[in-house]
Amino acid sequence: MTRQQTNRLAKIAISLVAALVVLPTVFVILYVVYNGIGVISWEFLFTAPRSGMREGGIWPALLGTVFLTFGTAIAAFPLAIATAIYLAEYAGDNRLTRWVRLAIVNLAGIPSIVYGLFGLGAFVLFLNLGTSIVAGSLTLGLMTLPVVISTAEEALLAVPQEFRTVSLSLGATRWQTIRHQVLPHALPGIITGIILGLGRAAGETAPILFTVAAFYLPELPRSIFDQTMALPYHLYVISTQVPGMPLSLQYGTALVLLLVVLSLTLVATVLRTRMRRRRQW
Amino acid sequence: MEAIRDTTLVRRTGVLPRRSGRRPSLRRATLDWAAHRFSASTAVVVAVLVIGIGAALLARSRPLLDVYSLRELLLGQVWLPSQGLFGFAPFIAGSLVVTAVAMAISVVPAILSGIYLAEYVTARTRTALKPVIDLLVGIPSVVYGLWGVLFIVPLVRDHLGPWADRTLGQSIPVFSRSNPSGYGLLAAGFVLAVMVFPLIVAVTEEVMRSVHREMRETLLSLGATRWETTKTIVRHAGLPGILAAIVLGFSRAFGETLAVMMTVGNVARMPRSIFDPAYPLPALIANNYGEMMSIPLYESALMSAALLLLVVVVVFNAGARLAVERLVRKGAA
Repeated sequence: MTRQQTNRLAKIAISLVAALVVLPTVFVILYVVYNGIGVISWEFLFTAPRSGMREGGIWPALLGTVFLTFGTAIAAFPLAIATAIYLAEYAGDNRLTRWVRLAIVNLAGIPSIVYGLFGLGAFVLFLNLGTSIVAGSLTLGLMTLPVVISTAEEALLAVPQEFRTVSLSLGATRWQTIRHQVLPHALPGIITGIILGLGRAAGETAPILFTVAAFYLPELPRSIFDQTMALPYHLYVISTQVPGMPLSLQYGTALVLLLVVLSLTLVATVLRTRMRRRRQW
Repeated sequence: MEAIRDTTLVRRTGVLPRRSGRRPSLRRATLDWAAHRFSASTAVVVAVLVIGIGAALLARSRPLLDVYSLRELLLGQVWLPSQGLFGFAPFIAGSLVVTAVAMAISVVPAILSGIYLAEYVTARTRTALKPVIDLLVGIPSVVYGLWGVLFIVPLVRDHLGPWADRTLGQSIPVFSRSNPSGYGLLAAGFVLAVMVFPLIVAVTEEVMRSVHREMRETLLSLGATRWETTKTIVRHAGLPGILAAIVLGFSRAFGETLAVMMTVGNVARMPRSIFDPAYPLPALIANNYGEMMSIPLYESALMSAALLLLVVVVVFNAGARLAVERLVRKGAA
């Protein structure tokens, strides 16, 4: 075999393997869509579960996930943005920033169930928030910190240095420069990061197990200190804890969850691509 | 986690010089000072967060750790909380084995795909694929779990299990079909493998690309074929990066909760065959918290399990990261 033939053979083999790897995941998506699409209806989306969850819809769980997603955004936003501003604008390469970077990488690696137990200990018990939307949002917010911080920092660093130099040379302070010259340009990127983080948070089950999720709750939560149902946990419950559960409802719930999560990720991705294309510098 | 680029790789351009020109008014100067201090303090909070989480878990584990020695806990085989027996060994073994099965299935194809993305694909395809990988990573764990329960478990029960029993199982006990339900290490390992694919692919691709650009260009310009270039790069410089990708995949799989606990069977016993059920640490925590809390030390035991998970994952993560960092420094030099 000549070198060129070996080269061609290797290319074919590696491409095949690469294609093979994508298949199972694509298969998971298609499998859920194919089996679940028939169940989706107005009634399924907007009514509460009935007869021990074996009939009816997913409205309380869907709404609960929406609440939790908003709560997560509110919990994660200030801490993440301020940290990213410190990393990108105020600090150079000092000991603190090295620690923060190491912490971000480690935070991103911590298993979600550990966040769940920490949230239980810190928010539910220690801060005495009880199993509530606040406690769940804080836990999920903590979990999304690494994604949001690193995308926000990237967005800030992408703003050209000239913008800062000009602003400073006109006598603006660093904060004025950040506030009026850097942040407006970085904002779309920062929002992308937040939505990306929310996409992850919306699909997580383990962190909400002990902090907010209710097994079955026919009423909607009235305040942020109430428990709520949530889609991922609801799916877990109906697919493992309820005997005689009709398959169609499981697939339908999985499809809705998948749509919620993937549409968030998709919005973030589209936003990012459009922003990159429109960038003038 | 793939969205987390190693930020040290980003060329730092943003840092602002302290001040230039005229002294700002007191109000503006104070505001700037406050913004600086506030952002620095949030950075400190983030920096100590991992330690804080560890300390909180440790504090809640103390009641158990005060009574039993680490040796007793880690090597103890019997888990009977009502009789004061807290042996974590079956759970640790369950976690290790299910992760090992997943890695055995996923590592080779995932690494090859990462190499494919790094070496063979045009820049345009690569930018088009990145969002797709982001999208795939976003699929919730519980959806994979449902797929595992409704598709993989029956597949193992009705086809893979009987087949393995007829062929390999007779002579090699690891493949004997010890459990007809289908729920077990193989099913969970397979689901887990599919879940960690994108992560390993993404990290391999990133490491391969960021580190070896010069070597690649030199080899190609000397007339080496793509395959020869790839081989040389992997052989001489790529291995630590690939190892880091594997370790990151391992630590992700090790802590995965929902998909695994839905498919692995949850029986606290030392596994002997890949069809055996097992009971990994995350499943232990998720399944039992809130129940039987009247048993003394039970809560503390679950907190210890979480602490153990945290320590293992952070050690592996930090190790892999340091390896990547050293690689980058070597690549830059």
